[in-house]
Amino acid sequence: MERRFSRRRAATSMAALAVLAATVTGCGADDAASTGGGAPAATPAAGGEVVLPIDAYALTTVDVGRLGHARTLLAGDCMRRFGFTFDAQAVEADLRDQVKDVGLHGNLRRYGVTDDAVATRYGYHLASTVEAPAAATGEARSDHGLGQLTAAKEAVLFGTTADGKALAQVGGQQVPRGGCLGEARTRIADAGQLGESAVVSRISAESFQRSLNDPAVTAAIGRWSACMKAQGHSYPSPLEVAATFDLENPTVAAKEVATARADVACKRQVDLVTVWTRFEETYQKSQIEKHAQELQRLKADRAEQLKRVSAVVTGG
Amino acid sequence: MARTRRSTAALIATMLSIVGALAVISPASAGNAYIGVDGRESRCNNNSRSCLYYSTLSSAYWATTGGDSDLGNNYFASGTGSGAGQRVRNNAARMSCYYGVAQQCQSYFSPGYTGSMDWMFWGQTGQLYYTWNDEASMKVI
Repeated sequence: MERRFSRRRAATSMAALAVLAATVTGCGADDAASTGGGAPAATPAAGGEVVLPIDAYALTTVDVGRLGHARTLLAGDCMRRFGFTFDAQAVEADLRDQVKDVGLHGNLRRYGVTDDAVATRYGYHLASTVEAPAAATGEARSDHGLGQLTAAKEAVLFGTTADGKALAQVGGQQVPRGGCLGEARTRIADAGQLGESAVVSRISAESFQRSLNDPAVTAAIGRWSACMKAQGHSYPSPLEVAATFDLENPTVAAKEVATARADVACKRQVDLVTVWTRFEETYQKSQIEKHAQELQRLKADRAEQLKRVSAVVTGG
Repeated sequence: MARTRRSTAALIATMLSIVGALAVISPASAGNAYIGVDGRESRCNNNSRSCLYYSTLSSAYWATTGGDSDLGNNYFASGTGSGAGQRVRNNAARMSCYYGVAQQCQSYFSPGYTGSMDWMFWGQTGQLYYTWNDEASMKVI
């Protein structure tokens, strides 16, 4: 039986996600829905969230989720037009997990675990692995209601036959260019790309990579390592710790929790996050100034896409 | 087998140009690249799985439904093409994301879902960028 997706339910859920994001970060709902405004200071927020200057130009985790949600809804509308079942309900629950796992700005694990409450509850695990292990392993994953894979479904979804030829018509109906996924993409981004350009990603990546060679950061990491060793945990960097534990098992071992709590305490003792974010903030601000014109244009493009996404998700 | 792709400047240039065109959505982290292009790879997708590939989409693959926090103890499936039997970690060039996935597939530079990340929406495939031959964990969400 086909499960009909409710746009009203989607809107309610997305509003709840905005509240969730505001709770996580201390931002208002408007901030959660779209990271506008000027470059914010690097501010460690509740639960270890870090906000860096480039985040003002990047899509938040919720933005990406909403974008993916709208894409799924639009593809579903298209698939139903061709007589196939399709739903998007699983997207909502997974987006909540995603915010909890990586934070609103995706920075929750940028410097490893930095919050004692998180370390105590989850160690180095993703929250979703501990709280919803079936979903985390894919055992309870939705198939978007598509059911058994068939060549006909695939052809309409992607707009091509199995041998890669463009599909023009099915049952007298014209198939959109790129199939139903192509139609979804076009309705959100016209002929352009979904979301923003590589420059935001590049600034964020370069900032982090350069920070690893900054003398102040490496010195602070050295002090963190010495602090950890004094407590019986030998690691050269906080980025190496998670790999030593079994993060697939939903049970968080006592040793993992003890290590994670020592990790957080040592970061505080040597002020590691402050030193680290100070470097990244300075670097990112200089890059933002250098690419100001392009970033402003990207912000405008992003705002237009998110406006369309909101209209799709709320049924407007 | 000789691995020439690591040192092929032309391929790197091609990859960078592709990513320049495709890297779009970036929820900020150590560095995220959106690498997805709508499409599927039927050998992998046939059983509701998402995959990492040794080189092209017709090369050997490693399949998963939920991901793995440490790819160091996983190997490309035997009999699936070039690269079969090789360790997955730091050896994958492409990824595909099954169309039954609710949201995304993500390939991370470091174990435990940390470090720079390449990602795509469901129903997409793409060439790894930040994690090309440098992937250590994969998450399907």
